[in-house]
This record gives sequence, C-alpha cells and structure tokens, in this order.
Amino acid sequence: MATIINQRLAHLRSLVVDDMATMRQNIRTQLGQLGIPHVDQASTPDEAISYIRKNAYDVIICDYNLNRETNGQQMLEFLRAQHILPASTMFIMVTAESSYDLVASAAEFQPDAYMVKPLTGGKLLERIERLLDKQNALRQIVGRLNLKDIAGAVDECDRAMQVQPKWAVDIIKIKANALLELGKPEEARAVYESALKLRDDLVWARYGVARCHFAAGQLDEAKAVAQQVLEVNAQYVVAYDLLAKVAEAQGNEQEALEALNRSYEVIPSARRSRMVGDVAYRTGDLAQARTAFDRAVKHTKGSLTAQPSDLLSLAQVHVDAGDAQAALQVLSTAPKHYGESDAFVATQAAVQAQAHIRMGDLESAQHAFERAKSLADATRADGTALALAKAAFSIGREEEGAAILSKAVRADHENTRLVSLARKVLKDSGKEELAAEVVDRALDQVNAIVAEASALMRKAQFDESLQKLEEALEGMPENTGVLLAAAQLHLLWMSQKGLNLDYVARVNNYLAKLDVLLPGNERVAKMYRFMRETLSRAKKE
Amino acid sequence: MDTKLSAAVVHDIKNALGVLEGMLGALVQEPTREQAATAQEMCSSLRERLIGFLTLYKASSQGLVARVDATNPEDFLNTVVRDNPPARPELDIIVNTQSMPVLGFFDENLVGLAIGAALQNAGRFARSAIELGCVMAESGELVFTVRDDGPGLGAQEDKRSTGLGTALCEAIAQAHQKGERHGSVSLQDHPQGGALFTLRLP
Repeated sequence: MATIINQRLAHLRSLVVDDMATMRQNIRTQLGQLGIPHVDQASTPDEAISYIRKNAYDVIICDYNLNRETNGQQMLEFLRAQHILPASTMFIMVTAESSYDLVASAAEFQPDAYMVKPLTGGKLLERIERLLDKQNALRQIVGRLNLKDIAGAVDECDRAMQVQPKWAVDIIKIKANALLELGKPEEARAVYESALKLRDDLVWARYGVARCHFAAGQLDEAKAVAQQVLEVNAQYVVAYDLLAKVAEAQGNEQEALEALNRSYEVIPSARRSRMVGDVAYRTGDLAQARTAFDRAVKHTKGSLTAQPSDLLSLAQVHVDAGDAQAALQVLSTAPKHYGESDAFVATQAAVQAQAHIRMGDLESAQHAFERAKSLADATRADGTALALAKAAFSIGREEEGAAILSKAVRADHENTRLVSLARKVLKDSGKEELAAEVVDRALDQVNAIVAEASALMRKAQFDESLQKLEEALEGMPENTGVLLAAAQLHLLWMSQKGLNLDYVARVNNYLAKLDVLLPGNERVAKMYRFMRETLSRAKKE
Repeated sequence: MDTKLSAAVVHDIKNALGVLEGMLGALVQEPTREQAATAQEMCSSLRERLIGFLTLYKASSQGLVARVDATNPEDFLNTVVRDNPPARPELDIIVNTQSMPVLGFFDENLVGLAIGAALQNAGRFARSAIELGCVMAESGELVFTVRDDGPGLGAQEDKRSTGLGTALCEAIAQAHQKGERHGSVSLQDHPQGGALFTLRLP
C-alpha cells in the first residue's frame, strides 16, 4: 500500500501559492519529503493564475491570505467561474485557525479541502491520500460526467453508493446535480431529501431542495426554502442568488436587486458586484449600477482577474446617466491589451459614439460609429450589438439601429436577458414604438422557422425540414433555439433512416457550439443523451 | 478566558521552552541525531499545546463554531493517532472499529484537537494500551471514547496538568450544536478498570 501511494505521489504535479517566501519554501520541503518532486511556486494570485493556465496541476496548496486585493477564496472563485481549473485538480485552501470557520462558511466555491495552519508533512500526506482515495472511489462517475453521459453518471452513482458508503455524501451531491441537469427536479429532490434523512440540518441539502423547486417552476416553494436556509445560515450566499432568480422570474426586479446586494455584503467580490450591476442596470437604477461596476473595475484593476466588460458597462452607465465626460475618461483607462480584441474595441467605439453625441460632437460620433460597425461581428448577439444599436439611434440612424437590434434578437431569441435589454435600448432611445416591429417580429420569425421545420419533419419531409434549419443557421449561427432544434431534427432523421456520418458531424458541431453558448444547460445534456441513444441504436441495426 | 488557566498554560509552555533551549544548547556542543529528533518532537508538542490554547482563546473571545462535515470516523481516528504519537513508544494504541458508523457528522479539525488532547492525557496514565472508539448512540449522538488501562481517576500525578485539555474539550463539545442540543464531555472510571474519556456530539 505504502509503495503504491509513493508511486502515485511521485507523479503529482503541484503548485504552492503563498505570499511569504519562507512559507512556500517550507511547504515545498514538506512535499519533497513526501516524495512529490515537482513543486512550482507562486507568490501572487496573478502569478498563480498564469501558472495554472499553462500547466495541469494535480495538487494546488493555496494560502487564504495572499494580498490586499485578492484572497485565496477569490482566486478560487475566479478559477472556477472561468473554468480554468480542471476537475481533477485537488485544491487545498490553507487558513489560520482564527479565520477558518469564517472563510469556510461564506465560501461559494468550495475547495477540495480546508487545512488549518500550521501545515505539517504528515497532515499534508494524510489529506492528499484521502483526496486520492476519493478520486478513486468516484472515478467511474466522473468518467461518465466527462463524457457528458449524465444518465450514465446517475447509474454509476447508484452503484458507487453500494460499494463506497464512505463517500455517500459526495455521491449524493453529484447524483442530485446530475438529475437536475437531466431536467428531473422531482427525482433530484428525493435525493436531497435522502441526505436530510442522514442529518436534517445539512444546509447544502436544504438549499438543493430549493433549487429543485425552482427547476420545477415552483417559485413560491423555492423562495420559502431558500429563506429558511438563510435564517439558519445568513452567510449561505448562493441562497441569495436563488432568491434573486425567483424574484426575477416573478418579474420583481427590485427584490432581485436587494437579494444580490445582500450577497455582496457576505462576499464583496468583483463577480458579485458585477451581478448587482447587471440587474441594477436592467432595472434602470443607474446610481447603483455605477457604484457596482465601479467597484468591480477598481477591485480587479491591473490584475488578471479584470474583465473588459466591466469597463464597458461602467462607461455605458455613465453615458446613460448623462455624464459623457466620465464615460470617455473610463474608456481611456483601458489597458493596452484590451485593444487586441475586436469585440472590445467595437463596443468601446459604440459607447464613445454615444458619448460624443451627448457632447454635441456629431462628427466624432459618426466616426466612432463607423469604426464600431466595421469591427463588430454581425452574427453575434451580445453587448456589442446592443451598444452599437444604441449608438445608431443616438446619431439618428434609426433604421440601422432597428436592423442591428432585430438581428441580435433573432440570433439568440431564447435569451430573455438579451431580449429585455433590447427592449431597454429602444426605451432609452425613445423608440418604444418600434418594439413590436423590431423585437416581437424578430421573435416571431425565429419561432416560425423552428415551427415550420418541425411541421415538415412531422409530415416526413425530412430533407426539407433539415434544409430549412441549415438555412436559418446561416443567418444566425449562434441561435441556441435553432441549434437545439437542428440537433434534434437531425437525430430524429437518423433514428428513422439510419446513420449518416455527415449528420453526425453536424450534430457534434451544433452541440459543441451549444456547450459554449449554454454551459451546463439541461436541454443540451438531454440532446447529448439523445445522440448517444440514436448512435448506439443505429450501430446495432 | 480563565486567567488562572491562561497563566498556568503560559507557565507550562515557558518551562517546556526552557527544556527545549537546554536540549538545543547540548546539540550545539555535540550534535546527535537522537537528540535532534527529541527536540523536534518537543517542538511539535509545544505547537499542539499552543494551537489548543489559541482555540480556547478563540472560543472565549469570538465563540467557536463547529463546521460539520461528513467524515469516516475510522479514517479520522487513524489520522489522530498518527498525529499524536505516544510519548512512551511501548504504549499500544488501538482503534476499535466495532459498531463504528461509516459516516459521522462533526468538525474534523476541532474534534481532532479534542481527541488528541484526550490521547495525550491517557498516554500519561496508561500501563500498556489505549483504545479509541466511535459509535452511534440510540439518541443519534456520535460518541467518541478514549480508554486507558491505567489506575483510573484517583491516580496521583508527579506533575499536575494545567487543565488546558479539559477546558479545550469542553469548548469543542459546546461548539457542536444541533437544534437546541450541544455536545458534552465526561471522564469516568471504566467498570473494567482504567479511565474512560467520552465525547458526545449531537
């Protein structure tokens, strides 16, 4: 046993993140004595992030106290939110005993383990061994998840539950999540309730029940359970997010904003500030949006965790609030490397155009607008399109603005945020009367294409149906609704007529796009499952 | 925090540092591997005592909150044994797995400190063996036990203990709360001889 562990340790790549050189050296020595030869060291979060982008680590040992701007928990939040950290990496957070429960209870993104200082070789070894043991126990489940075989992962969970009772809690968490992803909230709820039978005060399981209610469309129940969770643990920050989602779904944006503000009080991170800013902007609360984006910008200034969109959002808020000078000033602080992104420069120019108009400088505004237009990717439905449309309206090019907006809505018609922001652009530009023509008609058009294709399919006019969707995708290659319909109808075709390798390639292409556009979406997961079933049936025949 | 207890602990640590200083002095004169190892062990034990002291300080100043997580008690007890090697190497330390549940819900860091302190204490009185166990009581409580085969509670000590271990265990038991119930500790004579330390967690 000992030699097996030693062999495993000898192959582990590790990274130690600590601002104090003596501590890093100490941990490095301890790891070396355990037989882990490969140890990289980072002294700042930025250094750690660039190391992690370049190398696949098995173990990361990170001190909670890093520097004034970013602590270990915020770094982990960034790594997880940006999907930089591989699922197989063991992330160990080291805290002082005085702060450990405070750190741990408010953590939204959990590390694989918390360890309390001082670290000793023996404790590190024990913890790494246990995490390796867990990885081993959950290997089959994680393997299925990596293949996006969510239903298969659920089966593996049931099997593992029998032979690995030691890891029951981890298995329960994965299984419930997987069932939610498969769009089976009732079954997921039963799994969370089985955890509550083990112990009735498990906050994560109670919160899981709330999520299941939300997924099942039971908004009032979701809200009630999330509130219960917060009564017991006011630090449980994701419960605020759920309350915000419920409030938004019920059309109560003010309440959503309040919930997000409370979550920011618990974790004052750039990411949370950005969430507050987004909702504040949509509800038209410019003062609050400005504070929130300003905080996000300041918090990440000069760091790798900085997001260009914060700067653009802040500038747009300034323009909307009538402070064009401030908007231009904010945009002028953009770091040089942001200029390498066309999307950034296009949006920047679109906001500049609006600012110039406010300052009475039509010529500069037109110039900026042309630049924005030349760089904007016309097929994408995103912040650039919205800013561009706004700029067009502001310089009096009404038709152009309407066309850009209509195209954006058609490109991603199921994105409710985008649609509501598109309506807001019209309202802010004093063109509310165009909403029916621009937004509603665009929505109708896309829905009509999907409906028509489905109808053709039902009438067994398979080839016409697929052609219809392929044509639609030429004009809106990132429309998630059309992509899903296209995947589904191609699979239906194959389940009727047998395998077609071109179609398999197409479906793979649609799903790869959907993975990027809708990460972790249950409908996409369902489509993956449908594809596997179709292919395995086709192979048997 | 009880000032008498603080003074006793600081006094105790000061004395231990004195001994360590002497040991290091001898090492400077004539380094031996054996003595270096003893000095290192002494450092570890001092560090553990300071952690206990600081935990107790935290309990009295800002309150101690147990962060309860699902843990396998057998893995956990084996770790505690590994982290707390007996001062007398001849002592046999056994983890009794009989009726041990697969999962228990408790704060591993805190309970590790408590069982570690109880283990140290038992190590001072045990004749040949110490047995650790963990069972689920009918009340739903998780019950950890540390039993030694020494003379029991009436034993005379050469050197009085500071009371840090007892106070620490009580604070850690108290930090484990479920609804209205809190944890508790007790130290009794075992009917079959020796002393029995019990930590009950809701």
